[in-house]
Amino acid sequence: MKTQKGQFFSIDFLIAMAIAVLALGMLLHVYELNTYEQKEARIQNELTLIAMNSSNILLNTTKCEAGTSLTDKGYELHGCTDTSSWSGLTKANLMIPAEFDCYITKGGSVAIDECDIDDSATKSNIAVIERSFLEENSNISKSAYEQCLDNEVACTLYAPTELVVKIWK
Amino acid sequence: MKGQVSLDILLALVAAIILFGILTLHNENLGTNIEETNLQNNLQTILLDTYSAIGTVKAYGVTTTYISPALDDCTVATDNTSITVTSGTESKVYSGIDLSDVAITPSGFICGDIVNISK
Repeated sequence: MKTQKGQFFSIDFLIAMAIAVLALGMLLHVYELNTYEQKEARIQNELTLIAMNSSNILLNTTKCEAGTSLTDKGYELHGCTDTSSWSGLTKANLMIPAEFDCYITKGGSVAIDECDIDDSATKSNIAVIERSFLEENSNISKSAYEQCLDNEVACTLYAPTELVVKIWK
Repeated sequence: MKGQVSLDILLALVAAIILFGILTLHNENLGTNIEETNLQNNLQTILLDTYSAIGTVKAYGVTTTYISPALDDCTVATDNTSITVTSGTESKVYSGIDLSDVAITPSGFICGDIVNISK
């Protein structure tokens, strides 16, 4: 049988190399995937933080005003917002940085003039915050408030409303 | 031809040296990239943290003592319309935000320092 001295590559070596390259490729793929997921998570966190912050500012811009009959007795109106001043607010007032876009609605209608176009459909990262609150634009008196608590009449003092803040880059 | 250095070994050595060179170069590039990415991430984290602290004060009207995350050679600058975090030549900015109703004392500070934020 003829010997194969000086042979360049053995089949074992080729197989070993193929496995090594495959393993290296898989490792790189996992690394890339991990890096991509981390980047996506960071972007999403950033958008969520900005959306949450702007919704906080909106809901706390002007709280519902309680009548003196209520405030004298130490009542405070939490979760109730007077939205009459919202029309004058800008993106800057809500601390939404210039490089971000927004779409903000209250009960389905546009709430902030600068955030009136929703072209987020083509964006891969969007943060949407939905918050329920009570909307009231006039002073609330103690007697009316207690009537609502006692369910004496159908309560019309405030209306549950949905605020939706959508942020993307 | 005993004692002779075989062509196989010579070729294997050349291939190994080339491969080692490529790997070293790749490693250096990777190291630089990771360093830059880490710095960018750290700056982004500090920017978000500062933004969040100022946002809370603006929303709820509270006064707070704030300490940003610490980072070497890093400063935070604020004015009425922006927050900028800088380290060396890298920086992260949120611009076009209204901070006129928030007082940050001092307005510029080193990352990790204590500042007062009030409305």
